[in-house]
Amino acid sequence: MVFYGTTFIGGLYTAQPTPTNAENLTYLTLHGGKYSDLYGTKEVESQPTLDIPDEWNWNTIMRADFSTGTTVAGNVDWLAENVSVVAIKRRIQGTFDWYTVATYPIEVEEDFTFKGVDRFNQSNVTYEYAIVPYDLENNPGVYSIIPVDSNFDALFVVGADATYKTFHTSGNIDTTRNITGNYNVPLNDRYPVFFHSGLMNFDSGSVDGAFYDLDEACQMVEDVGYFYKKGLMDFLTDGNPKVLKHSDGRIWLIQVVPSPTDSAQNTYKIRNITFNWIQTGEHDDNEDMYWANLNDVEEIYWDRI
Amino acid sequence: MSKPIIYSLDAMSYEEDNMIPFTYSGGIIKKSEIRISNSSDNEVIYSGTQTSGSTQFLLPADSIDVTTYGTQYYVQIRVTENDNTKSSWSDTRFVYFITTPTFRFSNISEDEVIGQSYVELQLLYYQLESEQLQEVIYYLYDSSKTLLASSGVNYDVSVLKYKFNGLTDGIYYVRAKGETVHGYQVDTGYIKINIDYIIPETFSNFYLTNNYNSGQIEYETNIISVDYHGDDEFEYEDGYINLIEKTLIYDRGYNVADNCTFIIKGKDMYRSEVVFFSLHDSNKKFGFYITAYIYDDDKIRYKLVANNGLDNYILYSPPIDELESSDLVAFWVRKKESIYSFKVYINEVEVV
Repeated sequence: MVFYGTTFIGGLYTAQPTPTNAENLTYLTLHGGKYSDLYGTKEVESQPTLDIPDEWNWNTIMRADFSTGTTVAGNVDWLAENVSVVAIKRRIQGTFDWYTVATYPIEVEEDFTFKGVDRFNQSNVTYEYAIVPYDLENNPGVYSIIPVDSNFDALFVVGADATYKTFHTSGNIDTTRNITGNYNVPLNDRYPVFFHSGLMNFDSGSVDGAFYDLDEACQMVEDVGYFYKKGLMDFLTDGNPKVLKHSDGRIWLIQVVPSPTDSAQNTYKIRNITFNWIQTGEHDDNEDMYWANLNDVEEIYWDRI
Repeated sequence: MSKPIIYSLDAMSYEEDNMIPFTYSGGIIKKSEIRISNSSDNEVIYSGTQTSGSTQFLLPADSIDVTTYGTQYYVQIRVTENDNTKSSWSDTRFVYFITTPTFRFSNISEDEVIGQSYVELQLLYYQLESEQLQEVIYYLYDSSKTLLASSGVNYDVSVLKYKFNGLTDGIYYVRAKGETVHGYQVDTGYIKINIDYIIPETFSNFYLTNNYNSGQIEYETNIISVDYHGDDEFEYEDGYINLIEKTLIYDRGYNVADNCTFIIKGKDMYRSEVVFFSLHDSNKKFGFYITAYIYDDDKIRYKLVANNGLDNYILYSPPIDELESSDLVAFWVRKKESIYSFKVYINEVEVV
């Protein structure tokens, strides 16, 4: 079938046969001339123009600027055949040590596209996140860095597979810093002398919170919440390390110690869960988080010494 | 009568001035004498006098003639008090004299510019008499020489390498310190390096969202890795890639699944029956391409051809007169809901 355009065959834009549908076009060639630019986008609503945007966006398919002297047509110069892993790292802006959040193995180009969450972030800080390709010998490439403000509004207990939350208005954390040492007051002095014995230096504390179930709009679910609270008690007593974090910026890698309680507050419907904990490491130390089973990034991708 | 006590002595380089510290609990020291003997035959190889009350005896550089590695020497000191009373010789204190070791970074020099996010330090250690290195520590400092990271003590010195990761653009200092088996301290000193690599524009390929309610940071990548994977070498001239006799192929890293717009800019494209641009599926059954035909009157028409399985969907440009090789040719192609649009521009002016 042939559709005729505005003029007879031979005129501009005539002889238009049946429109064709084509998908999965993955083989592009360029030949027969000298080329400066190649640009492809999924965007099809704009007016025709030869202007090629500098910025990439979600619609950009490819963009080769041959004036750079390369054939790179992507937004990175990484090739799947040269990259073993892409790592997501973060650090608090202004500090040096990077914490490796996750790694993604790369086998084909499509592996470069992924999404994930970092659940062990701290509140009230500005982070720098970096995306870092590792070559086949596991040497890190350039750190492409983006800042982000990290804030949240509640108290969270985060485990390997679950997160529980209570608003800071209904929950709080009190802590004690534990150190070893003793002091004596010499007979000829007014002030004591302190003897620091050992390296022990960790926080312990207690958490008290309502821990209500929340719906998708983050509104409190209006029921007794038995199953939710039972789930939380099972979670707290599973023996696994967790991260405890508060909207004010405090955060710890913890172990819950015996024994959490679920107690009524004047009426049986209003109940608080209380538990004690000890700090067992640093939440931004890859080694501590690895051995706590909260981060599975292999040692070769850790930055901290 | 008191006698001096010499502190324990690490190995010393005989090529450097060395201080031999001691204590003396007798009267005021007027002068001190030292004698250094070969422990194997007790032959005194050096003796000297220092006419001061100092409790550090200065052993000048090159005052010891060391000929055999591994020879242990012992040192003794005695002092003369102000009333010319001489103390006894101190107990012996053993020491090794060695040639000053070479200890430096072999792959990093001062002010080196490093175009990557890590620095791998390689140390060169050499000591003429084969005094072995026992331990080494690597340090990384910021531009104000505040310590950022250290390796900790490395006792395995068979491979003198260490890597610091996670460096961003800026000035850093690196340093290594070590100690030999007989206690000689080696130090590279501060070596300034400049990390300088281009951080690519990432705002368009890496996205972050702070999720306030769920207390987590969500990230998503839009990394597109598209490049030529073949073996051809291409020539570039004045900002153009020369593909007159060659074909550039992109066959992975992208997928045009439905709607798309393509812009191709070039020159030197007065050719007939040449496929300038093509985009197909992997079997080359479906897709579209741009070709041209030169007529007898030397006019050229470009055409877009789309394969639809039955016949071809063709869009022509108008005939173009007197196209020179230096003229800039641009194709604009749009595929929207299976309908194609095709425009040709000569020197950025649409051909109509």
